[in-house]
Amino acid sequence: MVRYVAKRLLLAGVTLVGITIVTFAVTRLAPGDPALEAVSRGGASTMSAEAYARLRTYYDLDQPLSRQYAAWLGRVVRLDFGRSFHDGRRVTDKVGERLPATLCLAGGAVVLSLAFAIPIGLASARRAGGVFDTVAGGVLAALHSVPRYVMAMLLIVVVGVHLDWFSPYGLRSDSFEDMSYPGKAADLVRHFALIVFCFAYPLIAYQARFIRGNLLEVLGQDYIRTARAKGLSERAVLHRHAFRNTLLPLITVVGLLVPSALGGSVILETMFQWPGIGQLLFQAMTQRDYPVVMALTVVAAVVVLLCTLLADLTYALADPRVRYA
Amino acid sequence: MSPNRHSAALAVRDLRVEIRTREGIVRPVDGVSFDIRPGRTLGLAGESGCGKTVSALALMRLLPRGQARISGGSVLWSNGDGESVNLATAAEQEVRRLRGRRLAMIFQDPAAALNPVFTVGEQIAEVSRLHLGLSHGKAMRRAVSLLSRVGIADAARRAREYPHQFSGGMQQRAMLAMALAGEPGILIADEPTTALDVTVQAQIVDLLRGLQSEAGMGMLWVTHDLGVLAQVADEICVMYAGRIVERAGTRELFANPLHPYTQALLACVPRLHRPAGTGGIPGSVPTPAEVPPGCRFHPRCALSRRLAVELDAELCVNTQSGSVLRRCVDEVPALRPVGADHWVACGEVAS
Repeated sequence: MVRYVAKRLLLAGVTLVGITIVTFAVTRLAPGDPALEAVSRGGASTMSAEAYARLRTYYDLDQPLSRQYAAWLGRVVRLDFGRSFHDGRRVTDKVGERLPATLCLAGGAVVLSLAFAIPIGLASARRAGGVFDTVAGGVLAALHSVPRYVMAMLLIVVVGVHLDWFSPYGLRSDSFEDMSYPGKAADLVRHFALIVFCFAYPLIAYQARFIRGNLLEVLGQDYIRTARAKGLSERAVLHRHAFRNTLLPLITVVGLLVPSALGGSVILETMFQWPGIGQLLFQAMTQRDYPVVMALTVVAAVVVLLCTLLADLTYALADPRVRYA
Repeated sequence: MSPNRHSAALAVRDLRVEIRTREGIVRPVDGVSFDIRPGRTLGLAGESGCGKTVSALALMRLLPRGQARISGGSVLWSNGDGESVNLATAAEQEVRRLRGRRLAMIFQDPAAALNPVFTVGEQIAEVSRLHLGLSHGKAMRRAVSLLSRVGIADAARRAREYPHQFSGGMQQRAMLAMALAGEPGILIADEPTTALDVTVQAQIVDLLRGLQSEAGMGMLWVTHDLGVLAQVADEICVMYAGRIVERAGTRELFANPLHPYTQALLACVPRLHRPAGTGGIPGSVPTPAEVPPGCRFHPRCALSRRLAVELDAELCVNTQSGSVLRRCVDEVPALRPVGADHWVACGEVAS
């Protein structure tokens, strides 16, 4: 087991370096230039060639790409992600203060989606082809085919602005600090509800279908017949004997959904003005803030690699056939 | 535990099973009757696809739902105390009360029949908890004693292991422990030794026989292997294409097989004093969708063909599979008594 984990971590490290090389090259190949950005922030529409060249030297942009990358990698190994081109703050600070908001979002979305997907999947498999299965299948397929940004727009306009049930912008109200504890809780719900739902609904659809399909496959197995032969109720057969076997592949799926949730955060956080790393990435891209972009790439890659590794390890721990192999 | 355990019986009358397929409704079991008597073993023999496993599953009401159903007949369980339930028509809840408690079943492939994610002990204990109302701890201790009763050494440790850590023979022993947990009066064994090595087969056969005489269970032993039935069965029903074609006491059946199908089956059993490789029975069991009219065995029947050669042409008819007796195609032979404890469904043999 230790050997296996060590091997996986080593491979993950190699993958990580590969990802950073590609991102490094792509961001620098994209049109635009942090030096020009910095000048336009200063209000000047033109600048002397000399000033431009000095800025490029300041940012090390006059060096060849390979040397820039080597220098960056050398600092990152010491966990120094540099300072933002945009405001000169330490990149680790900028990312660190925004990471919790996004992690809450991703975690909330996964928990919420499972809370819906598991009962729906169980109920659908219980009477496959029945009324509930057909209706739920249709609704979920329809939901799944609505892009997140369309759903977000709809929710912001209708539920957020017109009906004013939920607050479509930001993490909390400006008056948050003055609220009582129940008031704070209510305020958080008002702010979390729409964006978490936007994150979760495609996951619900996907996971419910996955659970249903897996359950149906498991229900055809011999050991389900054995469970019925024992005299167990259909409920016990489904929830205990069948579901436990469905849980194993579900662990892997959930592990892979977390990264995809992170990917969706760029658009959604921007739309909901959510102070997370997705919004930060969007801003950093438009500002050509290379150090921030690179740091977020590393964070995202580490999360993805860790989630896959964790999914595999949990699977191994949950499946006695792997555990004792 | 229960005083009436030694007198439970199962009377099956005219059992019919329907399966819905794309081509229409087929009947893999079509009017089968037999009795499982207290303390006795009934063998149900026949080739693959003759309907014997479907019959066994139907007794437990374990036919795959939505696909197959009992379409007629009765399966009357009685405990000898006057309590009886018709399993063919009883409510699901009533059937569940008996399943695992009064009737238990073991299956052909024990590796697939055990749930891979629960320990063997947990799976056995589940039955005691469900039917005997034991606590988790008591049920686990009982599972350990059941495991040692079916001959598993170091049962306390083994109970905490998972099915994949057991060998095939041990898995079948574990299945048996699970079946015994409810102290059933009737045990249905569907090809319990088919998936096992020959040496392990013999051990399981011995174990089952021992447990049966100890517990006084009535047993139904489903197999294609007449050699096994010769050792375990008191009485044998031979099935062909969804019907019973011959029924007799084991000794009588082996000494005096009357139905041409039984004779052909017995000819396939390798014997020491006879050269092996008898070539089997020509043709194959018809699928339930294409059962021939009249006697279902007539396309493969050596007797009908031989008589067709000897008898007048007007008594015969030409079919795809050659010339056979007309009555074999026209008449459905009923199971008729031909001697003490011996029934045959063949127009020629009976007359």
